[in-house]
Amino acid sequence: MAEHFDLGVMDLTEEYRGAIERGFARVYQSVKRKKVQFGAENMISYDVEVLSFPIAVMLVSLINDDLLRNIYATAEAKKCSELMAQERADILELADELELPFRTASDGDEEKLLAIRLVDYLSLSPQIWGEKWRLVNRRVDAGEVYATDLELARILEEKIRRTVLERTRARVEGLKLPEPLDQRSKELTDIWRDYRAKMYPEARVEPQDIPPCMDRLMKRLTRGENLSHVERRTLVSYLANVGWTEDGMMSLLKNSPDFNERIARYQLEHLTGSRGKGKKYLPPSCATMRMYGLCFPDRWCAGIRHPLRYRRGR
Amino acid sequence: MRDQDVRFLKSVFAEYYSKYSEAVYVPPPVNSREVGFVVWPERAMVRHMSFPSLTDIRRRIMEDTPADAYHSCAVYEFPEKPMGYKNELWVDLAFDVDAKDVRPDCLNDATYSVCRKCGHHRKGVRKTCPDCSQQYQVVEFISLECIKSTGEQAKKLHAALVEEIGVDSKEISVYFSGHMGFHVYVTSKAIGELGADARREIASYLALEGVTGGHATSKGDLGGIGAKRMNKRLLNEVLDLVSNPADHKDILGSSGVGLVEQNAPRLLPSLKKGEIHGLVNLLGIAKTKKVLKRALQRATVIVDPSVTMDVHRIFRMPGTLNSKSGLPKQLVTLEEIDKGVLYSLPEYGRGNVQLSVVFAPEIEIGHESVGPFSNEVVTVPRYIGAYFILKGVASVG
Repeated sequence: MAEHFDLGVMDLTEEYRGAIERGFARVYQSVKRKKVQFGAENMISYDVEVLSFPIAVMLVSLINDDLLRNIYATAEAKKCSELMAQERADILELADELELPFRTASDGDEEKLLAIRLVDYLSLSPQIWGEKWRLVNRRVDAGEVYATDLELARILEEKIRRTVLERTRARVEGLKLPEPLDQRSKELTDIWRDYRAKMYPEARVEPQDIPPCMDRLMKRLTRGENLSHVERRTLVSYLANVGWTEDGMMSLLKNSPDFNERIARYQLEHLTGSRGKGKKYLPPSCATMRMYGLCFPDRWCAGIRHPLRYRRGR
Repeated sequence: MRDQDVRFLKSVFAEYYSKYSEAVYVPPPVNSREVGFVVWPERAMVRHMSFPSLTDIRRRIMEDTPADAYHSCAVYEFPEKPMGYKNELWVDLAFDVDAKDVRPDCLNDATYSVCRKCGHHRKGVRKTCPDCSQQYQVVEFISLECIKSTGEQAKKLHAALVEEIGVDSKEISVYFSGHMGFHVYVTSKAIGELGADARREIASYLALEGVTGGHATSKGDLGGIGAKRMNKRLLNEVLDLVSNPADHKDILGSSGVGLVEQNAPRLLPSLKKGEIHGLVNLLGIAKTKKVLKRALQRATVIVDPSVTMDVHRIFRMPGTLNSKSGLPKQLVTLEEIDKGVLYSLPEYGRGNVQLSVVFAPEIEIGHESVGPFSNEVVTVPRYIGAYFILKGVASVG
């Protein structure tokens, strides 16, 4: 770990208490506030800040829970995104640092569009963020996708999230830790266990006739992946129409890495008709699901036009 | 299927493989691909096999003469292990261009319901024979029109892969499936690492899913699709339509054709920028919508998305015979698609065989044209005999 400092795990003794505490705080804040705080005090010691990151990653890896991994990676990416000045030059510099190749469009576009390799764009899956990110609604030419600098910044945030997530997947079982780190690791394990039990009871996923499009959304959500607004709205309207209770849906939605109970409750009540004009929304039709890029048909989907009509073994 | 029919089919298949085993092909690395066979007579699928080399696969196919042979698009660390233990390394991007998706009307036209007991037949899909209450057998006979339409789609797909997705044409292989469709493989390593979601997005992009709402609005653009982001393929079709309005008299009307012809030089520069307001002002909203709908139909590349996104799918092995027809899946060039792929079939099964045929419409395979037949004993080339037996409408003797 921390190649930059040429340190091994067993070197992280009392001498590095500051970095250990900051590493602990990064994970703690991501769990409690869904965000890693970064203030002036963190700028005082560069070494502490830099070293605290691999420590935080290790603490997350030790707990070995995909939901925590996703929460932590999302929080770290959000922090970077906030720190990233929304200036074109900074964004382009970060793209270089993160090794995301791009080139400036050379055809005199007013928007000064940036061309990103299509495989990079698709690997980061921005198409799931909404219609404007779908390939069909973008300029695609000769293996390149065009984006504005702010759109590139959003893509970089996702790249950071993926990178952090990947790093937390390192296998660390049975790793022996020095005293100060061991103490904080145990503490964090207890905090996470209590927090998960309280906030994220195991979601109820019924193995009934769930169409593959909805099944995919549910699986992604239970893995702690961040669904887009359209995806959440689609899933909730489907579940509400197949008889899930609001509490059941809330416990499922709590798996979102950026879950906010008040907003989620409001949206859920709106979709299920218990708020507003009392209209209960239907999930999108198969045609609309295809338009959103959320249709992943299997053989039982042949001939049906609405996810609610899906039945296995017809 | 009767024993003598299976014996006959195996002899035709064996003759083909004895002559053309070199045509059997699996993309490299061969030893990391899962291989599957469908075996006679019960047509059971045997999967999760792997072979050290192409020579071994060819030898095994010559020995076993399977009804069908498949290979995985995925490259695995352990291809012979059960699914979930194979450890996938990368997956070729593959497309299935099928008549059922491209031209359901044409396929329907080539589909007959045949009563195997009395020979009664009707076009389309029916349940039971009115004469003897026997369940109909639904048979899709070969249709040159279906093959032509799927071939056109395969060519469009090839062009979109090169011009838009940025694939090197050397990394694209187009195969006639041996029935009525085409398989298109992309063997680019960078694309091979994309997951199911990204593959779904590529299929969706090629089909232009989501542009359907992009009709002309009072703002004069294509719905939510801004001028600079208008799909290139769609834009090209709009430009083509405006440049050749006479070909679209059915939607433009005589007056519309004249108007567009007169104004095309003025319209084209702004259209090239994706600005549609000039066309709206000229034709009105209703007609512009028709123009866009036509352009969209022509721009769409129809592929089966469930095949493209399925990274564990096994595809028919190139150079092997398709048990739906007894014809080989074979690599074709874009020029061969234009000429008609059935004319470039290899020669096998040219001797004659006597068959009892319950029903067959007139069919054309390459230079051979046979039928129609109804409850009669006929003598046809062996490969055509195999075709009728595999369709379930004939028997040897």
